[in-house]
Amino acid sequence: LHEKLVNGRIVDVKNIELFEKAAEHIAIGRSATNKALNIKDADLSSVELIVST
Amino acid sequence: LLVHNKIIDLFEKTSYIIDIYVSGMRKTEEKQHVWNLFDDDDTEPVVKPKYVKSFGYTAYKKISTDDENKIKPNADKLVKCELTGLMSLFLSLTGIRSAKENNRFEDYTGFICDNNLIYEINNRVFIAKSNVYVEPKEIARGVKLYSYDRGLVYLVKSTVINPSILKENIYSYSLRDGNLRLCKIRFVSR
Repeated sequence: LHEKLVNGRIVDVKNIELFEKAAEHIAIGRSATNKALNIKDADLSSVELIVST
Repeated sequence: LLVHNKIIDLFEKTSYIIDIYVSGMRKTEEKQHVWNLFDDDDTEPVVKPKYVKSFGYTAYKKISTDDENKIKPNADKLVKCELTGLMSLFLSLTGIRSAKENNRFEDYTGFICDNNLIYEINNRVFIAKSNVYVEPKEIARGVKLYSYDRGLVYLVKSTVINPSILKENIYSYSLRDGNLRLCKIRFVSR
């Protein structure tokens, strides 16, 4: 789950709130890590939904 | 895709700006009470009609120089143009200015694709037609224009979740059926 969210890959989302919360936790963790290691990384985590065009 | 205070035609590769000017003063139904502070007498206020500025606009067009093979001298100079749909943008700008009682016009950004005119003013996104005047329809509020791809307008809603993290919800709006869908939630550094 972490890898999918962190890498921003498309996930089949049935319960978006669960993924959203997980992505938020990852973002908080990555933000803190980046700060500690002085890494500039704009993209912290994401969840993509499948959208038919 | 988006340029500050310009409307970009995505297919014709041209940009449009509108120059808004005061065209006169208009008397309104409202009255205003005016006291003369330098008058020694304790007189009654003078009631005067309230006047407001009325505005007009001129539209200008600028051709893109991205295709270097088609460049001709002075081709990319601003030229006056008639693009009926820009009336929608003008009316939105004057309406918002009037509602907020601002002394200036809000900034705008937007684009044209397939005769659709999509623009954003102060985190409000409107849709109208570029070739004819239609009353602009507000499709979302609290969002910014983000992108456009194959009939889908992408909008982004940003929320600060802590001092160093910004949460961005990206939505698509279908020009075909008007459906608004959540596409992506991402977290970025601030």
